Amino acid sequence: MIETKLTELLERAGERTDVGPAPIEMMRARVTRRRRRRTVAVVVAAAVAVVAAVGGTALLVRPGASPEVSPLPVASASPGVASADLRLVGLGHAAIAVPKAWGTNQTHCLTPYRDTAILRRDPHLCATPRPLGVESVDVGRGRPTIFDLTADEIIEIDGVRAERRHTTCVSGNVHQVRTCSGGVRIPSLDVWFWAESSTNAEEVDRILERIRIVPDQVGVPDPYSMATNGEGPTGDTYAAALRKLGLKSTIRTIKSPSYTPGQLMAVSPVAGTMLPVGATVILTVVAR
Amino acid sequence: MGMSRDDFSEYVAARWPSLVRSAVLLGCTHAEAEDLVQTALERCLMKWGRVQAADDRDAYVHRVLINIFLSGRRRRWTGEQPTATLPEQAGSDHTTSIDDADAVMRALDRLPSDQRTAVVLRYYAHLSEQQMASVLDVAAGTVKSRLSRAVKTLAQDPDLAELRGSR
Repeated sequence: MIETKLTELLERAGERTDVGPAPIEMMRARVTRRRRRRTVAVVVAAAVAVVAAVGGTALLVRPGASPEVSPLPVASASPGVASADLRLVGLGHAAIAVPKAWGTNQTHCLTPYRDTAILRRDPHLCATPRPLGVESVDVGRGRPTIFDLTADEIIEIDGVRAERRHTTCVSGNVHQVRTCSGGVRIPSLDVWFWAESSTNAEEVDRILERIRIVPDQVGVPDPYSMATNGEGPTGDTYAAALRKLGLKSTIRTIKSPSYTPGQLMAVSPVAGTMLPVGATVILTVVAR
Repeated sequence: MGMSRDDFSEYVAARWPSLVRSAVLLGCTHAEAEDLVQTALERCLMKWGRVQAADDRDAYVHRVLINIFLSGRRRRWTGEQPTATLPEQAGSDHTTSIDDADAVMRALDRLPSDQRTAVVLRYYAHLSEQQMASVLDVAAGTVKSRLSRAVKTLAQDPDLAELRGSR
């Protein structure tokens, strides 16, 4: 007798729970992310295997080779590894591997609108929501101005002491998008990384796990970080900074009546690209 | 791909409310229930082709849901931490204890978890005993005996007896 009544009672009890619409798009975004992550993991695993093989061979050929340099798979010169779906972005000798599909500086109103590595955020102060399922990592030097990188924990990355800011999540006041963030600062190299994700906290941790110290490579510096009084550096100033880092420069000139002669207009490859020490950066400078 | 996307959307739009409510009846808070169902559906979406190919789609999805639910309960047990101040918890609203729904929830709370699961799957999710055997990965006879014990217990439950008497 109760059996016949149970369905009715359970349905009445169930109806007490107000259920909102299904977050179908969020589910899709998270699944897409997970699939992409699996692909990246497979690629990295394959790359590690290739590097292990290449490294092993190198050690056999050159017994004196320094073993403490742990090359990041994607940073290797091996053609097989170069095809991996990751690229390095960094400053000085600290870098982070991000999927090649990620953009660079893809921000609007200080907010990333797609997966991106960020050397410099679009500085316009305006309000725009971060879309769901967007991952980003900022790379910078000095004291970050918009992130709190107070150390929660001391960690070690490739033998170098680093400070980890734990990952936390907050929901936006206006748009209610839950964004998780966390960071790593490497004081001895004066470089920090700040990862954000509107997918979940695990994504942030996963991004930050891909930070590496790369002694044989160096990041192309960000010209904007050398701006004074709102004006970018001159070609000479930037070339001097490159020399200090162990990079060379080639200067291309353009004519421009609007800019001061000698002023740096562009660098190639873009800031944040990791290059082998001794590589050349092309500077575009206003003709004198 | 487009077809499977639409298919997934249609399935989720149709089943989301009842899946969330099933999870609440299993003993989850509202937030836990939404998280649980979302996680289960994401796992299904990862292998949506397999879900589509399954003889019984509902049984497949419920199986994933129940597995996550049970493993979550096991993790919660081992993950308990002592704390100086008890956190606020969402639960049954005792100020409305005369509410039918609360009476049902209290009666469900008193059931062993395997019997509670059986009751929810049979009488709320409307799965057949055969489907339940597949979802719970037990013999059909086990499903029958769990249901029988659960129904017997519920028949003697004072809250539900009162409820039936009042009707």
